Amino acid sequence: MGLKHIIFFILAVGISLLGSAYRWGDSAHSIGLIHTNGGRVKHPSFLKSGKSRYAFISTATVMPPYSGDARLVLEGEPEMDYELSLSRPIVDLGFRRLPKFDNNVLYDLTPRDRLAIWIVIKPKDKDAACGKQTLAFYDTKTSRPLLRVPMIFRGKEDSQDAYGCCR
Amino acid sequence: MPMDAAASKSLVVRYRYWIILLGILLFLPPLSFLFQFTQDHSFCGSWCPRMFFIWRQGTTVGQFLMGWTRSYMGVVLVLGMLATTFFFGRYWCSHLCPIGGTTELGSHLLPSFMKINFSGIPASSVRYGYFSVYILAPLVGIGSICCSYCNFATVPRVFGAAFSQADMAYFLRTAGLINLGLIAVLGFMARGGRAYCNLLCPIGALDALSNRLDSKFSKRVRVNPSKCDACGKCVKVCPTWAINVKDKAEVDQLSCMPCGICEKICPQEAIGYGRIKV
Repeated sequence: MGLKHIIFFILAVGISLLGSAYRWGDSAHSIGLIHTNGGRVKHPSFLKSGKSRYAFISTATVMPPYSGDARLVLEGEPEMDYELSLSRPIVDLGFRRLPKFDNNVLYDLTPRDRLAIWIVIKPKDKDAACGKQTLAFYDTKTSRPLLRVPMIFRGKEDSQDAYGCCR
Repeated sequence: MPMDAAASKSLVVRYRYWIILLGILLFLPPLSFLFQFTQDHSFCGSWCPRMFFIWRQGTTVGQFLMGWTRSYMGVVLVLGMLATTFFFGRYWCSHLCPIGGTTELGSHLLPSFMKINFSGIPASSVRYGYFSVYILAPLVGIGSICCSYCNFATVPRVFGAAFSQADMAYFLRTAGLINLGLIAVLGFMARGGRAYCNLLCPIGALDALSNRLDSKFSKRVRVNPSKCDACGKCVKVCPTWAINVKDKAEVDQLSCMPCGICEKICPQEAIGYGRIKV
């Protein structure tokens, strides 16, 4: 193995290590379980405050016995503009039943449904984009929470209190 | 070192681009045909081929195995691919992979003055440097490049973004734009369209190991040295820069995929797909 190979190997390792260690802070992914008992989220997701836009993906599985319709709301202070969209096939060939998504409501959820929801968040004032937001799933009939996905905005200096508020 | 069936240009060589198109149709939007059987719509989810073999710091054996069950179609895909490669060569990469196939076909649409020649880069050094970090960085807790920089997430969403707000959202973030840039520069703008496959694809890295492992006894792309006149035409067309010419052309089985482009262009018919005849 020549020197050129060794140099390129080291370069590849170095750049890949940087890519592994650094997070861009304007996107995150969370995994959750939708359940009548309030659901469970695998981990909270951390975002970096001060950005003008965030893209967050929340994947979730519907756990038995829950079935019904669920409304999605982004809650928290400060209030932020957001748009939700559900990943689904562009041409639905009808092999599997898929829940409908309209006006931030998931219709006709049944056990074992798997969802991937993208949330594009635009803070009204990007400097105010800190604190804790929650993507909440509520049953439309009972208003009971089915899943609450926390999104914690960290300050630029990474300092935060127990509630994730930057200082 | 003569070969059997070296000169015959088989159907899989002649109709490779049609087979790639079929792979794109089966896997990618707008149809995403195969994914719909499992209530998926992209490679993310049960079809993910890149994440199940990553062991993160603190992961228990049970959690690791749970990842295999979660990505069960990805597991089938990767293990099937490794097994077929072991015996027949990298047909997944050359003919079926919709990700590499898209970048290769896309690169044909660009004029040649826009193409970048990456053949000066020692591919296996970069590939396994990247791959070792891909495996080890999550294991020691540094972080992961697994999902952040993923060709299997990006290319389907390039197709889907024209139709779906959810696919468009993937590119409304820094990592999505970087992925798009990587696909553009190392894919569409690369000479041959396969630089991403050759340098950064972890599935390609695994597949290349399988290809190399049984290269002596199984069918592979080979050069018949008694026919080769070292003209170098094969070197110029190889999308994975796997051919090196000294006195005769030699194929690096750690980079070669049986696309057959070299086989088609060789004026001496010295390149073919087959076993070594002892």
